[in-house]
Amino acid sequence: MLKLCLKDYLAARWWWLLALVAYALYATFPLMQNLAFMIAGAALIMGCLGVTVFIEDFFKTEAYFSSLPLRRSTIVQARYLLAGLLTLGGGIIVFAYGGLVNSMTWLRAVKINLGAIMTFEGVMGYVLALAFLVGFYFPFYFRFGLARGSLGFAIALLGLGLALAAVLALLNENPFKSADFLKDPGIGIVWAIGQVKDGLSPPLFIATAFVLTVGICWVSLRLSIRFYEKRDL
Amino acid sequence: MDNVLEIKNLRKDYGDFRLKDVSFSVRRGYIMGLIGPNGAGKTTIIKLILNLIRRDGGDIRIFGLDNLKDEAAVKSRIGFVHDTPFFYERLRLKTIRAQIAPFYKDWDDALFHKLIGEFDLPPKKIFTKLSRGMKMKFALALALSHKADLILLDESTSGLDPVFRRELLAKLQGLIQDEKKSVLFSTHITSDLEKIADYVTFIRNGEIVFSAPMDETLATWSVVKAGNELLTEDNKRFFKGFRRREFSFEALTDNTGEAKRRFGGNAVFDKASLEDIMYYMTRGESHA
Repeated sequence: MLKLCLKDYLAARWWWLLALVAYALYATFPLMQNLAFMIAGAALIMGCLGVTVFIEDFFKTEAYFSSLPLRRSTIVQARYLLAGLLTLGGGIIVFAYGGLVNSMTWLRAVKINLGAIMTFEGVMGYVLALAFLVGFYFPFYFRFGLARGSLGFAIALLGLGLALAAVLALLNENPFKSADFLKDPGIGIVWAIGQVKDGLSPPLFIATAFVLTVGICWVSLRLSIRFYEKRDL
Repeated sequence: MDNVLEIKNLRKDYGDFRLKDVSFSVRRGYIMGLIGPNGAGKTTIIKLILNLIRRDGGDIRIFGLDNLKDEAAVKSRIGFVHDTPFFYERLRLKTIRAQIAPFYKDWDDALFHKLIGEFDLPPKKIFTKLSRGMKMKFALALALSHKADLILLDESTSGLDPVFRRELLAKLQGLIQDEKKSVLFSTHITSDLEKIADYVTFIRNGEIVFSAPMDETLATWSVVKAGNELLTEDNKRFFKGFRRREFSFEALTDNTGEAKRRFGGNAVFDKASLEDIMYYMTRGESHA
């Protein structure tokens, strides 16, 4: 699997660097909100992953690399591993860069309180959000290919968002509509995660978050392997 | 019989095209040519061997192993060149080598560098800047650099200049000298096959027409040339395919003895080339 990750690294490394530079320049300015910080971080990871699958599709290399001594399941697993490595590497960069920018006293214009997001709950939110995005996207990608898979993913995500909004609208007290939440939704999300943590107790919360992340990835991986083994290249 | 590749009753249904119970085998130490018109199913067979597409039925055994159950083990001993060499085009040749070499435990870097030297391929050159012929040469160098026991070539000589084609054919013949390696070579350029193939398999509309030794094939099939008055309904049924001209006809037969008995001195008999066989059986008229 690492050989496939190396293959992707060699193919996409300059694009990843470009994404990193774009992130560094972009993140200097919208750090006024924790949510923007979270979204920019997730966009960096998804962007690196997206450019990797895009160039593979663009140069039509899938058939060649699938002809190498590999099983289809290994190719799928390698993509999940790559997503994991990018999430880990991206996470380190995002949080280190956020801390660095925030520590620069001369950058007062972009300085915000990242105290909420630079916490255990913040990291959990980041990992869970990315696990969900990647876990939701890959089955579409491996079933339908890049173009149709991405379209299907976008439609399904939109549908899911609308369904979630509808459920929240039915709640008597919607915490996501409060003025405090809207002021900085990132803090609100981290606060909500913190409420769950306090409700469950920290050890149980960690176990739940771990099971949830692994569960999402495992179900997604099984589906992706099943789909990809049936796909004609 | 020592077969490296055995295909039995292979089926694939695309809806508008079907591969119908394809069976043939490739013997160790020999070159098998796979011929047929465009859309006959040659690339489909090679893709099925490499498990790039799912088969709907049948069996593919390579080195005695099932190509699905033992996919990685089987593929590690196969060298392949697809009809169009698709790589990450913006990368240098040496970077593409670095992507591919780790997948083969028998990768021979010295052999790879020797081959790209022979093929005049600069390792620092960016892939997209190569001509089609040079891209094919590079794909071939990759296919030959891990000491594969079975080489699959899908239309690999198309786009190559005659000089390199001749060199490639010599290289393929050199490969099988140790009688351990085998080649399955799909091509439109039938003259290439006549030079090097030991066996030939002809496929048309997803069906195998014949699979036989090359010398036997060339000895069996003939082109008959005679006046149109001899092209009776009975004779049309006898021929595998024919082409009518204004005053004469040319026809293909796999029974030269019977043809000579029927037409005697009233016809001219020429040995059929693979191109003749492919042409008459694909484009020629037939009684049916």
